[in-house]
Amino acid sequence: MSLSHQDKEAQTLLSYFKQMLSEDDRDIAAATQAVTPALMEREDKAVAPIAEDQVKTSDLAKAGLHQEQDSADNAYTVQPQPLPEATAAGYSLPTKDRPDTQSLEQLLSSIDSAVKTDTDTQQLTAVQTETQTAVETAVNTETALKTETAVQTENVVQHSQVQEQDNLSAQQEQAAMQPRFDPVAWRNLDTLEEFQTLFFMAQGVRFAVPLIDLGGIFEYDKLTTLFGKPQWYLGMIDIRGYKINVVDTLRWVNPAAAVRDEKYPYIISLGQSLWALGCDELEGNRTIARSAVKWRQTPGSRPWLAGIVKDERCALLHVPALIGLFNKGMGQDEIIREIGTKA
Amino acid sequence: MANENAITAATGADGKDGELRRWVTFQLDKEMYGVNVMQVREVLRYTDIAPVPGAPAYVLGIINLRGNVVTVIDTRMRFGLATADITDSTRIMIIESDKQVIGILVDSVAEVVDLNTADIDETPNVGTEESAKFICGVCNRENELLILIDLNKLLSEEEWQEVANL
Repeated sequence: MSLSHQDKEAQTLLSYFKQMLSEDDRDIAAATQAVTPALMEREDKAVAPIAEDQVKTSDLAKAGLHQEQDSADNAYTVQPQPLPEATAAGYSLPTKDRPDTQSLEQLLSSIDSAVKTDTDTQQLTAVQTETQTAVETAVNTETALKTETAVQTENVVQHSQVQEQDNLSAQQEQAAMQPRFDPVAWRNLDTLEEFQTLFFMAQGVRFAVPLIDLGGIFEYDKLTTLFGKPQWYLGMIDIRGYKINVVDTLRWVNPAAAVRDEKYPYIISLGQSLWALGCDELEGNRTIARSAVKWRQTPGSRPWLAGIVKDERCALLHVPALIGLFNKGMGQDEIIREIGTKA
Repeated sequence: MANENAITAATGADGKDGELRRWVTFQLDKEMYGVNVMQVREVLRYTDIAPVPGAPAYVLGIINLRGNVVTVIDTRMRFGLATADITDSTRIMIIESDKQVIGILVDSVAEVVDLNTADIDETPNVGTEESAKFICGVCNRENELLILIDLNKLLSEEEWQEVANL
Protein backbone atom coordinates (compact mmCIF):
# COMPACT_ATOMS: atom_id res chain seq x y z
CA MET A 1 0.00 0.00 0.00
CA SER A 2 1.61 3.18 -1.06
CA LEU A 3 1.80 6.11 1.32
CA SER A 4 0.12 9.26 0.44
CA HIS A 5 1.94 12.54 0.36
CA GLN A 6 0.42 13.59 3.65
CA ASP A 7 1.44 10.34 5.29
CA LYS A 8 4.99 10.81 4.13
CA GLU A 9 5.00 14.30 5.43
CA ALA A 10 3.63 13.15 8.78
CA GLN A 11 6.26 10.47 9.04
CA THR A 12 8.99 12.92 8.25
CA LEU A 13 7.76 15.26 10.91
CA LEU A 14 7.45 12.40 13.36
CA SER A 15 11.00 11.23 12.77
CA TYR A 16 12.24 14.78 13.08
CA PHE A 17 10.63 15.31 16.43
CA LYS A 18 11.76 11.93 17.67
CA GLN A 19 15.30 12.79 16.73
CA MET A 20 15.01 16.00 18.62
CA LEU A 21 13.63 14.25 21.68
CA SER A 22 16.45 11.74 21.66
CA GLU A 23 19.06 14.38 22.03
CA ASP A 24 20.98 14.20 25.30
CA ASP A 25 20.01 16.57 28.01
CA ARG A 26 23.71 17.16 28.45
CA ASP A 27 23.76 19.06 25.31
CA ILE A 28 21.06 21.22 26.66
CA ALA A 29 22.87 21.68 29.98
CA ALA A 30 26.11 22.44 28.18
CA ALA A 31 24.34 24.89 26.13
CA THR A 32 22.88 26.45 29.27
CA GLN A 33 26.31 26.60 30.94
CA ALA A 34 27.80 28.05 27.86
CA VAL A 35 25.33 30.81 28.03
CA THR A 36 25.54 31.47 31.82
CA PRO A 37 29.18 32.73 32.00
CA ALA A 38 28.46 35.02 29.27
CA LEU A 39 25.52 36.30 31.20
CA MET A 40 27.61 36.66 34.38
CA GLU A 41 30.33 38.47 32.53
CA ARG A 42 27.78 40.84 31.20
CA GLU A 43 26.38 41.31 34.73
CA ASP A 44 29.83 41.95 36.23
CA LYS A 45 30.56 44.57 33.73
CA ALA A 46 27.30 46.17 34.48
CA VAL A 47 27.90 46.28 38.23
CA ALA A 48 31.58 47.26 38.13
CA PRO A 49 31.09 51.01 38.00
CA ILE A 50 28.99 50.82 41.16
CA ALA A 51 31.82 49.05 43.07
CA GLU A 52 34.37 51.53 41.92
CA ASP A 53 32.31 54.31 43.33
CA GLN A 54 32.29 52.43 46.67
CA VAL A 55 28.64 52.26 46.94
CA LYS A 56 27.56 51.64 50.50
CA THR A 57 26.13 48.30 51.44
CA SER A 58 22.97 49.76 52.69
CA ASP A 59 22.58 51.45 49.45
CA LEU A 60 23.33 48.26 47.72
CA ALA A 61 20.95 46.40 49.95
CA LYS A 62 18.37 48.94 49.13
CA ALA A 63 19.22 48.37 45.60
CA GLY A 64 18.69 44.62 46.19
CA LEU A 65 22.33 43.61 46.03
CA HIS A 66 24.19 41.56 48.70
CA GLN A 67 27.77 41.97 49.84
CA GLU A 68 29.91 38.81 49.73
CA GLN A 69 31.22 38.08 53.26
CA ASP A 70 34.24 35.94 52.59
CA SER A 71 35.58 37.54 49.55
CA ALA A 72 36.85 40.86 50.83
CA ASP A 73 39.78 40.80 48.47
CA ASN A 74 37.50 40.43 45.56
CA ALA A 75 37.35 43.67 43.71
CA TYR A 76 33.93 42.79 42.68
CA THR A 77 32.45 42.48 46.13
CA VAL A 78 29.01 42.61 44.92
CA GLN A 79 27.83 39.27 43.68
CA PRO A 80 24.94 39.63 41.38
CA GLN A 81 21.93 37.59 42.17
CA PRO A 82 21.21 34.87 39.75
CA LEU A 83 19.35 36.45 37.07
CA PRO A 84 15.72 35.84 37.37
CA GLU A 85 13.91 33.72 35.00
CA ALA A 86 13.39 36.71 32.96
CA THR A 87 17.06 36.45 32.04
CA ALA A 88 16.62 32.89 31.07
CA ALA A 89 13.55 33.81 29.26
CA GLY A 90 15.56 36.38 27.45
CA TYR A 91 17.88 33.62 26.33
CA SER A 92 15.28 30.91 26.37
CA LEU A 93 16.35 27.72 24.76
CA PRO A 94 14.23 25.90 22.30
CA THR A 95 13.88 22.89 24.60
CA LYS A 96 12.85 24.84 27.68
CA ASP A 97 9.16 24.73 27.11
CA ARG A 98 8.99 21.58 25.24
CA PRO A 99 6.29 19.19 26.21
CA ASP A 100 7.29 15.76 27.27
CA THR A 101 7.82 13.00 24.76
CA GLN A 102 4.62 11.23 25.44
CA SER A 103 2.51 14.21 24.99
CA LEU A 104 4.39 15.02 21.84
CA GLU A 105 3.98 11.52 20.52
CA GLN A 106 0.39 11.66 21.41
CA LEU A 107 0.27 14.88 19.64
CA LEU A 108 2.10 13.41 16.69
CA SER A 109 -0.13 10.40 16.63
CA SER A 110 -3.03 12.54 15.83
CA ILE A 111 -1.06 14.47 13.30
CA ASP A 112 -2.81 12.90 10.37
CA SER A 113 -6.18 14.02 11.42
CA ALA A 114 -4.75 17.25 12.76
CA VAL A 115 -2.90 17.96 9.56
CA LYS A 116 -5.94 17.07 7.58
CA THR A 117 -8.16 19.08 9.85
CA ASP A 118 -5.65 21.86 9.89
CA THR A 119 -5.38 21.73 6.15
CA ASP A 120 -9.09 21.73 5.83
CA THR A 121 -9.40 24.40 8.42
CA GLN A 122 -6.61 26.35 6.83
CA GLN A 123 -8.16 25.92 3.45
CA LEU A 124 -11.52 26.78 4.86
CA THR A 125 -10.03 29.65 6.77
CA ALA A 126 -8.02 30.63 3.75
CA VAL A 127 -11.05 30.38 1.61
CA GLN A 128 -13.10 32.18 4.19
CA THR A 129 -10.39 34.72 4.73
CA GLU A 130 -9.83 35.03 1.04
CA THR A 131 -13.51 35.26 0.44
CA GLN A 132 -13.93 37.60 3.34
CA THR A 133 -10.95 39.62 2.24
CA ALA A 134 -12.11 39.53 -1.31
CA VAL A 135 -15.58 40.47 -0.24
CA GLU A 136 -14.20 43.04 2.13
CA THR A 137 -11.86 44.32 -0.54
CA ALA A 138 -14.65 44.26 -3.03
CA VAL A 139 -16.87 46.01 -0.57
CA ASN A 140 -14.11 48.43 0.28
CA THR A 141 -13.29 48.91 -3.36
CA GLU A 142 -16.91 49.22 -4.16
CA THR A 143 -17.38 51.59 -1.29
CA ALA A 144 -14.26 53.47 -2.30
CA LEU A 145 -15.37 53.49 -5.88
CA LYS A 146 -18.83 54.50 -4.83
CA THR A 147 -17.40 57.12 -2.55
CA GLU A 148 -14.99 58.30 -5.20
CA THR A 149 -17.67 58.14 -7.82
CA ALA A 150 -20.04 59.81 -5.45
CA VAL A 151 -17.48 62.49 -4.72
CA GLN A 152 -16.70 62.88 -8.40
CA THR A 153 -20.36 62.76 -9.22
CA GLU A 154 -21.00 65.21 -6.45
CA ASN A 155 -18.27 67.44 -7.82
CA VAL A 156 -19.61 67.04 -11.32
CA VAL A 157 -23.12 67.57 -10.05
CA GLN A 158 -21.97 70.55 -8.06
CA HIS A 159 -20.10 71.82 -11.10
CA SER A 160 -23.10 71.11 -13.25
CA GLN A 161 -25.29 72.67 -10.65
CA VAL A 162 -23.11 75.76 -10.66
CA GLN A 163 -23.25 75.83 -14.44
CA GLU A 164 -26.94 75.10 -14.35
CA GLN A 165 -27.38 77.78 -11.76
CA ASP A 166 -25.46 80.16 -13.99
CA ASN A 167 -27.48 79.09 -16.98
CA LEU A 168 -30.62 79.13 -14.90
CA SER A 169 -29.90 82.56 -13.54
CA ALA A 170 -29.20 83.77 -17.07
CA GLN A 171 -32.38 82.12 -18.26
CA GLN A 172 -34.29 83.49 -15.31
CA GLU A 173 -32.87 86.89 -16.03
CA GLN A 174 -33.85 86.49 -19.64
CA ALA A 175 -37.22 85.15 -18.61
CA ALA A 176 -37.65 88.06 -16.27
CA MET A 177 -36.74 90.32 -19.14
CA GLN A 178 -39.19 88.58 -21.40
CA PRO A 179 -42.10 87.28 -19.39
CA ARG A 180 -44.67 85.31 -21.30
CA PHE A 181 -48.32 85.99 -20.95
CA ASP A 182 -50.32 83.26 -19.32
CA PRO A 183 -54.06 83.93 -19.24
CA VAL A 184 -54.58 81.32 -16.53
CA ALA A 185 -52.07 83.01 -14.26
CA TRP A 186 -53.53 86.43 -14.93
CA ARG A 187 -53.88 88.52 -11.81
CA ASN A 188 -54.76 92.16 -11.71
CA LEU A 189 -52.24 94.74 -10.59
CA ASP A 190 -51.25 94.66 -6.96
CA THR A 191 -50.87 98.28 -6.06
CA LEU A 192 -50.81 100.34 -2.91
CA GLU A 193 -53.97 102.07 -1.70
CA GLU A 194 -52.68 105.11 -3.51
CA PHE A 195 -50.32 104.91 -6.43
CA GLN A 196 -48.81 107.26 -8.95
CA THR A 197 -50.04 106.97 -12.49
CA LEU A 198 -48.82 108.50 -15.75
CA PHE A 199 -51.46 109.73 -18.14
CA PHE A 200 -50.63 110.01 -21.81
CA MET A 201 -52.34 110.42 -25.14
CA ALA A 202 -51.91 108.29 -28.24
CA GLN A 203 -53.76 109.47 -31.32
CA GLY A 204 -56.31 111.27 -29.21
CA VAL A 205 -56.98 108.38 -26.85
CA ARG A 206 -55.97 108.74 -23.21
CA PHE A 207 -54.19 105.94 -21.41
CA ALA A 208 -52.96 105.55 -17.86
CA VAL A 209 -50.12 103.42 -16.63
CA PRO A 210 -48.76 102.97 -13.07
CA LEU A 211 -45.43 104.74 -12.73
CA ILE A 212 -43.92 101.76 -10.98
CA ASP A 213 -44.30 99.74 -14.18
CA LEU A 214 -42.56 102.25 -16.39
CA GLY A 215 -39.02 101.87 -17.66
CA GLY A 216 -38.60 105.35 -19.02
CA ILE A 217 -39.83 107.97 -21.45
CA PHE A 218 -37.67 108.75 -24.46
CA GLU A 219 -37.60 111.04 -27.43
CA TYR A 220 -36.08 109.66 -30.59
CA ASP A 221 -35.09 110.74 -34.06
CA LYS A 222 -35.33 107.68 -36.24
CA LEU A 223 -37.08 104.41 -35.93
CA THR A 224 -35.78 101.46 -37.90
CA THR A 225 -38.65 99.66 -39.53
CA LEU A 226 -38.41 95.94 -40.01
CA PHE A 227 -40.21 94.29 -42.87
CA GLY A 228 -42.44 91.31 -42.31
CA LYS A 229 -43.84 92.62 -39.05
CA PRO A 230 -47.46 93.38 -38.19
CA GLN A 231 -48.75 96.90 -38.66
CA TRP A 232 -48.85 97.62 -34.96
CA TYR A 233 -45.11 97.01 -34.81
CA LEU A 234 -43.54 100.35 -35.64
CA GLY A 235 -39.93 99.35 -35.52
CA MET A 236 -36.82 99.20 -33.43
CA ILE A 237 -34.68 101.82 -31.81
CA ASP A 238 -31.35 101.62 -30.03
CA ILE A 239 -31.47 103.19 -26.60
CA ARG A 240 -28.26 102.92 -24.61
CA GLY A 241 -27.37 99.69 -26.35
CA TYR A 242 -30.78 98.10 -25.91
CA LYS A 243 -32.85 97.42 -28.99
CA ILE A 244 -36.28 98.67 -28.00
CA ASN A 245 -39.30 97.54 -29.97
CA VAL A 246 -41.84 100.30 -30.46
CA VAL A 247 -45.54 99.56 -30.68
CA ASP A 248 -48.19 101.71 -32.27
CA THR A 249 -50.29 101.98 -29.13
CA LEU A 250 -53.65 102.77 -30.61
CA ARG A 251 -53.24 100.43 -33.55
CA TRP A 252 -52.38 97.60 -31.22
CA VAL A 253 -55.41 98.29 -29.05
CA ASN A 254 -57.65 98.87 -32.03
CA PRO A 255 -56.44 97.34 -35.30
CA ALA A 256 -59.11 99.28 -37.14
CA ALA A 257 -57.55 102.59 -36.18
CA ALA A 258 -56.26 104.80 -38.92
CA VAL A 259 -52.76 104.26 -40.19
CA ARG A 260 -50.49 106.85 -38.69
CA ASP A 261 -48.30 108.88 -41.00
CA GLU A 262 -46.25 110.73 -38.43
CA LYS A 263 -44.05 109.15 -35.90
CA TYR A 264 -44.82 109.28 -32.21
CA PRO A 265 -42.72 111.99 -30.58
CA TYR A 266 -42.21 109.92 -27.44
CA ILE A 267 -41.96 106.33 -26.51
CA ILE A 268 -42.73 104.93 -23.06
CA SER A 269 -40.73 101.80 -22.28
CA LEU A 270 -42.47 99.16 -20.23
CA GLY A 271 -40.73 97.94 -17.09
CA GLN A 272 -37.45 96.17 -17.76
CA SER A 273 -38.66 94.82 -21.07
CA LEU A 274 -37.54 95.71 -24.60
CA TRP A 275 -40.95 97.04 -25.47
CA ALA A 276 -42.20 100.59 -25.63
CA LEU A 277 -45.49 102.29 -26.43
CA GLY A 278 -45.74 105.21 -28.81
CA CYS A 279 -47.01 108.37 -27.19
CA ASP A 280 -48.19 111.68 -28.66
CA GLU A 281 -48.57 113.71 -25.52
CA LEU A 282 -47.54 113.31 -21.91
CA GLU A 283 -50.20 114.61 -19.55
CA GLY A 284 -48.17 114.10 -16.40
CA ASN A 285 -48.54 111.86 -13.42
CA ARG A 286 -51.05 111.95 -10.60
CA THR A 287 -51.62 109.94 -7.48
CA ILE A 288 -54.82 108.01 -7.60
CA ALA A 289 -56.51 105.76 -5.06
CA ARG A 290 -57.32 102.15 -5.76
CA SER A 291 -60.93 103.02 -5.23
CA ALA A 292 -60.66 105.46 -8.11
CA VAL A 293 -60.24 102.55 -10.49
CA LYS A 294 -62.84 100.09 -11.60
CA TRP A 295 -60.72 96.96 -11.52
CA ARG A 296 -61.30 94.03 -13.80
CA GLN A 297 -61.68 90.62 -12.22
CA THR A 298 -60.92 88.45 -15.26
CA PRO A 299 -58.65 89.00 -18.22
CA GLY A 300 -61.40 88.47 -20.72
CA SER A 301 -60.45 89.38 -24.25
CA ARG A 302 -58.50 92.39 -22.97
CA PRO A 303 -55.94 91.06 -20.53
CA TRP A 304 -53.89 94.21 -21.08
CA LEU A 305 -56.62 96.27 -19.40
CA ALA A 306 -56.27 96.44 -15.64
CA GLY A 307 -59.28 98.65 -15.22
CA ILE A 308 -60.85 102.01 -15.94
CA VAL A 309 -59.82 105.15 -14.11
CA LYS A 310 -63.27 106.45 -13.19
CA ASP A 311 -62.65 110.19 -13.11
CA GLU A 312 -60.44 110.27 -16.18
CA ARG A 313 -62.49 107.66 -18.01
CA CYS A 314 -59.38 106.15 -19.48
CA ALA A 315 -57.85 102.69 -19.64
CA LEU A 316 -55.37 101.72 -16.96
CA LEU A 317 -52.85 99.45 -18.66
CA HIS A 318 -51.81 96.13 -17.18
CA VAL A 319 -48.12 96.38 -18.02
CA PRO A 320 -46.99 92.81 -17.12
CA ALA A 321 -49.77 91.34 -19.27
CA LEU A 322 -48.93 93.79 -22.02
CA ILE A 323 -45.27 92.74 -22.01
CA GLY A 324 -46.27 89.09 -22.02
CA LEU A 325 -48.52 89.60 -25.00
CA PHE A 326 -45.86 91.52 -26.88
CA ASN A 327 -43.31 88.83 -26.20
CA LYS A 328 -45.69 86.31 -27.70
CA GLY A 329 -46.11 88.57 -30.69
CA MET A 330 -49.82 88.82 -30.05
CA GLY A 331 -51.96 91.59 -31.38
CA GLN A 332 -55.71 91.95 -30.85
CA ASP A 333 -56.50 89.42 -33.56
CA GLU A 334 -54.28 86.83 -31.96
CA ILE A 335 -55.67 87.62 -28.50
CA ILE A 336 -59.23 87.17 -29.64
CA ARG A 337 -58.29 84.05 -31.50
CA GLU A 338 -56.40 82.51 -28.60
CA ILE A 339 -57.87 83.98 -25.46
CA GLY A 340 -61.02 85.78 -26.38
CA THR A 341 -62.95 82.67 -27.14
CA LYS A 342 -62.00 81.14 -23.82
CA ALA A 343 -62.95 84.17 -21.79
CA MET B 1 -10.94 87.86 -51.38
CA ALA B 2 -11.20 84.97 -48.97
CA ASN B 3 -8.22 86.24 -47.00
CA GLU B 4 -9.81 89.62 -46.64
CA ASN B 5 -12.91 88.00 -45.29
CA ALA B 6 -11.16 86.11 -42.57
CA ILE B 7 -13.23 85.86 -39.43
CA THR B 8 -11.33 86.99 -36.40
CA ALA B 9 -12.10 86.94 -32.72
CA ALA B 10 -13.09 90.26 -31.26
CA THR B 11 -14.65 91.83 -28.25
CA GLY B 12 -18.02 93.44 -28.62
CA ALA B 13 -19.09 96.85 -27.41
CA ASP B 14 -20.56 95.32 -24.27
CA GLY B 15 -17.40 93.38 -23.50
CA LYS B 16 -18.66 90.06 -24.82
CA ASP B 17 -16.37 87.99 -26.96
CA GLY B 18 -17.45 87.21 -30.46
CA GLU B 19 -16.31 86.88 -34.01
CA LEU B 20 -15.68 89.71 -36.37
CA ARG B 21 -17.61 89.27 -39.56
CA ARG B 22 -17.77 91.42 -42.64
CA TRP B 23 -20.98 92.58 -44.15
CA VAL B 24 -21.81 94.42 -47.33
CA THR B 25 -24.36 97.12 -46.59
CA PHE B 26 -26.98 98.33 -48.99
CA GLN B 27 -29.95 100.59 -48.82
CA LEU B 28 -33.51 99.69 -49.52
CA ASP B 29 -36.28 102.19 -48.97
CA LYS B 30 -35.06 104.16 -45.93
CA GLU B 31 -33.27 101.38 -44.14
CA MET B 32 -29.78 99.97 -44.30
CA TYR B 33 -29.32 96.26 -44.69
CA GLY B 34 -26.33 93.99 -44.52
CA VAL B 35 -25.46 90.71 -46.17
CA ASN B 36 -22.53 88.43 -45.49
CA VAL B 37 -19.63 89.56 -47.64
CA MET B 38 -18.70 85.96 -48.29
CA GLN B 39 -21.88 85.55 -50.27
CA VAL B 40 -21.43 88.61 -52.44
CA ARG B 41 -19.72 87.88 -55.74
CA GLU B 42 -19.89 91.29 -57.28
CA VAL B 43 -21.93 94.46 -57.53
CA LEU B 44 -23.20 95.64 -60.90
CA ARG B 45 -24.65 98.86 -62.07
CA TYR B 46 -28.20 98.56 -63.16
CA THR B 47 -28.54 96.99 -66.53
CA ASP B 48 -31.55 96.01 -68.52
CA ILE B 49 -33.33 93.07 -67.02
CA ALA B 50 -35.11 90.86 -69.45
CA PRO B 51 -38.47 89.79 -68.05
CA VAL B 52 -39.31 86.12 -68.14
CA PRO B 53 -42.90 85.27 -69.05
CA GLY B 54 -44.61 83.12 -66.47
CA ALA B 55 -41.97 83.76 -63.84
CA PRO B 56 -42.99 84.31 -60.22
CA ALA B 57 -43.85 87.84 -59.19
CA TYR B 58 -40.70 88.24 -57.13
CA VAL B 59 -38.54 87.57 -60.22
CA LEU B 60 -37.72 90.72 -62.16
CA GLY B 61 -36.07 88.82 -64.97
CA ILE B 62 -32.69 87.63 -66.12
CA ILE B 63 -29.43 89.29 -67.07
CA ASN B 64 -26.46 88.09 -69.04
CA LEU B 65 -23.41 88.12 -66.85
CA ARG B 66 -20.41 87.32 -69.01
CA GLY B 67 -22.28 84.63 -70.81
CA ASN B 68 -24.08 83.29 -67.77
CA VAL B 69 -27.76 83.80 -67.17
CA VAL B 70 -28.50 85.19 -63.75
CA THR B 71 -31.99 85.58 -62.31
CA VAL B 72 -32.65 88.93 -60.64
CA ILE B 73 -34.98 89.07 -57.67
CA ASP B 74 -37.20 92.05 -56.85
CA THR B 75 -35.93 92.63 -53.35
CA ARG B 76 -38.46 95.28 -52.50
CA MET B 77 -41.29 92.98 -53.34
CA ARG B 78 -39.64 90.16 -51.49
CA PHE B 79 -39.34 92.31 -48.39
CA GLY B 80 -42.88 93.60 -48.70
CA LEU B 81 -41.78 97.13 -49.48
CA ALA B 82 -43.29 99.55 -51.92
CA THR B 83 -41.84 99.69 -55.41
CA ALA B 84 -39.44 102.48 -56.33
CA ASP B 85 -38.02 103.96 -59.49
CA ILE B 86 -34.66 102.98 -60.83
CA THR B 87 -32.01 105.61 -60.07
CA ASP B 88 -28.30 106.06 -60.72
CA SER B 89 -27.63 104.48 -57.37
CA THR B 90 -29.58 101.34 -58.13
CA ARG B 91 -27.38 98.27 -58.13
CA ILE B 92 -27.64 94.57 -58.80
CA MET B 93 -25.80 92.55 -56.21
CA ILE B 94 -24.72 89.17 -57.49
CA ILE B 95 -24.92 86.83 -54.55
CA GLU B 96 -24.10 83.21 -54.07
CA SER B 97 -26.33 81.29 -51.74
CA ASP B 98 -26.19 77.65 -50.76
CA LYS B 99 -28.31 76.82 -53.75
CA GLN B 100 -27.25 78.97 -56.67
CA VAL B 101 -26.18 82.40 -57.94
CA ILE B 102 -28.83 85.08 -58.20
CA GLY B 103 -28.99 88.84 -58.42
CA ILE B 104 -30.87 91.13 -56.04
CA LEU B 105 -31.91 94.62 -56.94
CA VAL B 106 -31.15 97.23 -54.28
CA ASP B 107 -31.45 101.00 -54.07
CA SER B 108 -27.73 101.47 -53.47
CA VAL B 109 -24.70 99.70 -52.11
CA ALA B 110 -22.89 101.49 -49.33
CA GLU B 111 -19.80 99.84 -47.88
CA VAL B 112 -18.20 96.81 -46.27
CA VAL B 113 -18.33 96.87 -42.47
CA ASP B 114 -16.91 94.70 -39.74
CA LEU B 115 -19.41 93.66 -37.12
CA ASN B 116 -18.86 91.69 -33.97
CA THR B 117 -21.29 88.83 -33.63
CA ALA B 118 -21.65 89.72 -29.95
CA ASP B 119 -23.11 93.06 -30.96
CA ILE B 120 -25.78 91.52 -33.13
CA ASP B 121 -29.21 91.27 -31.51
CA GLU B 122 -32.18 89.21 -32.50
CA THR B 123 -35.40 90.74 -33.63
CA PRO B 124 -38.66 89.97 -31.84
CA ASN B 125 -40.64 87.01 -33.03
CA VAL B 126 -43.60 89.07 -34.05
CA GLY B 127 -45.93 88.43 -36.91
CA THR B 128 -46.41 85.53 -39.20
CA GLU B 129 -45.00 87.01 -42.39
CA GLU B 130 -42.57 84.75 -44.20
CA SER B 131 -40.32 87.69 -44.91
CA ALA B 132 -39.66 88.12 -41.20
CA LYS B 133 -37.48 85.02 -41.45
CA PHE B 134 -35.05 86.79 -43.75
CA ILE B 135 -33.82 88.97 -40.92
CA CYS B 136 -31.10 87.28 -38.93
CA GLY B 137 -30.41 90.18 -36.59
CA VAL B 138 -29.86 93.86 -36.08
CA CYS B 139 -26.75 95.73 -35.11
CA ASN B 140 -26.12 99.31 -34.14
CA ARG B 141 -23.75 100.98 -36.57
CA GLU B 142 -22.97 104.68 -36.15
CA ASN B 143 -26.24 105.36 -34.34
CA GLU B 144 -28.15 103.57 -37.01
CA LEU B 145 -29.56 100.09 -36.89
CA LEU B 146 -28.31 97.79 -39.58
CA ILE B 147 -30.72 95.01 -40.51
CA LEU B 148 -28.81 91.84 -41.30
CA ILE B 149 -30.24 89.52 -43.94
CA ASP B 150 -29.81 85.77 -44.19
CA LEU B 151 -29.60 85.30 -47.94
CA ASN B 152 -30.05 81.56 -47.71
CA LYS B 153 -33.56 82.14 -46.40
CA LEU B 154 -34.42 84.68 -49.03
CA LEU B 155 -36.22 81.98 -50.96
CA SER B 156 -37.79 78.76 -49.86
CA GLU B 157 -36.66 75.39 -51.19
CA GLU B 158 -39.42 75.37 -53.75
CA GLU B 159 -38.65 78.91 -54.79
CA TRP B 160 -34.97 78.15 -55.24
CA GLN B 161 -35.97 75.23 -57.39
CA GLU B 162 -38.37 77.42 -59.30
CA VAL B 163 -35.69 80.01 -59.97
CA ALA B 164 -33.26 77.33 -61.06
CA ASN B 165 -35.74 76.05 -63.60
CA LEU B 166 -36.39 79.40 -65.24
